[in-house]
Amino acid sequence: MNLKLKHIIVAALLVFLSFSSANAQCIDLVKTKGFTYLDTSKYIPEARFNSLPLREGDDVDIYKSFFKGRNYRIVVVGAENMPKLNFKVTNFQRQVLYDSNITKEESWDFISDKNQNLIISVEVPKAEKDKKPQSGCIAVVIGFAY
Amino acid sequence: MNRKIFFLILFLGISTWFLSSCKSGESADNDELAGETIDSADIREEILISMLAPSDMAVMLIDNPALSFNKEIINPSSNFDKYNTNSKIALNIGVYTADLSYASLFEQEQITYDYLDIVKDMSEEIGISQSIEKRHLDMIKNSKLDKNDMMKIINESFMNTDAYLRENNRQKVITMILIGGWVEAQYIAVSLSKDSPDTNSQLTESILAQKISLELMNKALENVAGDKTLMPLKADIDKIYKAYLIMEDNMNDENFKEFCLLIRQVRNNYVV
Repeated sequence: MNLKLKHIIVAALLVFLSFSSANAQCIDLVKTKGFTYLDTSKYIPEARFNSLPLREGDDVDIYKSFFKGRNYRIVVVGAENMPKLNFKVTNFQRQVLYDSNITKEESWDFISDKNQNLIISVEVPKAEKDKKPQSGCIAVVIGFAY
Repeated sequence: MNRKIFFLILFLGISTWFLSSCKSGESADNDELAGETIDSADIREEILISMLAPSDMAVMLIDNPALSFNKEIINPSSNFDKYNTNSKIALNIGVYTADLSYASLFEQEQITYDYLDIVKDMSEEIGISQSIEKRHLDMIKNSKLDKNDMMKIINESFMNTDAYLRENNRQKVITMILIGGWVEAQYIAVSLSKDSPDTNSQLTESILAQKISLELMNKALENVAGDKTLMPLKADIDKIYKAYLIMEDNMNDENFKEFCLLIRQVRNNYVV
């Protein structure tokens, strides 16, 4: 087998394997780190999958309904190679209800005082100058308690 | 030797393509439900509209100690064979997920198990593999679980489906499942209300509260003009939203009854 052909095969194998593992990484992040911070003995995880791969410097807004009188926990976590994430919870008028920059926590517990749609904005801090931006999964896990 | 290498590369190429598109090789509207590929390298600011899952809808609407389980309300399991297009299957995965969530809230293990099994088969039919794990089905069948445990299993199964569809760029399928689930959960709620706002005030309040989840759904459906699969569903959602506005403007028995009638019409159209 010539060398060029060997390189092609190895490259194809790497593409195939990286694609398969990328698919599994985000759901794994939700079910491991996400569920741990949520504490599934106290909170029932909601069923939507709010996780995606991002790079340093990227951000995502998640629009979500919250109902009056319900006790919620919002957890925001990233893959091991990612920096600590910042998140804010705002209403549609962008009035800030919670800011993790202030509390330095990965989660926020609250009881919704009304039926409302809120925005959870997650920001991956920018990479340091001259460093290659890291990329990895981030996850927003939401649970409710009885 | 070269022939073997050629087939190895061909196999890897086909496998990668299969994983990225992940369509089941069946019926006519399959391509329409495959969605579009987004180059993740170009995404800097993402927006996710996290509409309620059918199971979460059921909890918000009908998890109420004053209510009871009524098997007559839910979509019969025998209807399962009728759904022979991907659109119908996707809508009714949502319908059956709302039904089994209703059953689980009242600890109806057998119905929860049977319907979860149906959802598993339907999911596989449209190329969603590994959504409902065998260990979860076994747990429901063999263990005495309370409603919280069942809810965790149902939510984790739905999350697997959601993750699979998102990662394979099949957003249209998940949108249809969510619409089917939203309508079915509302159908269960209005049936339990017996079309009267006075039957159970907490239930009425929960039905009215879902206006905000419909607003998110509208937002998610903003850019579907010209999509012949989603346009009729958007028209249904628009009609329901108008009915909400009428009730908001003037909440009385007649307007509530009209709302219930509309939900019933839309739902019956989905399950036939």
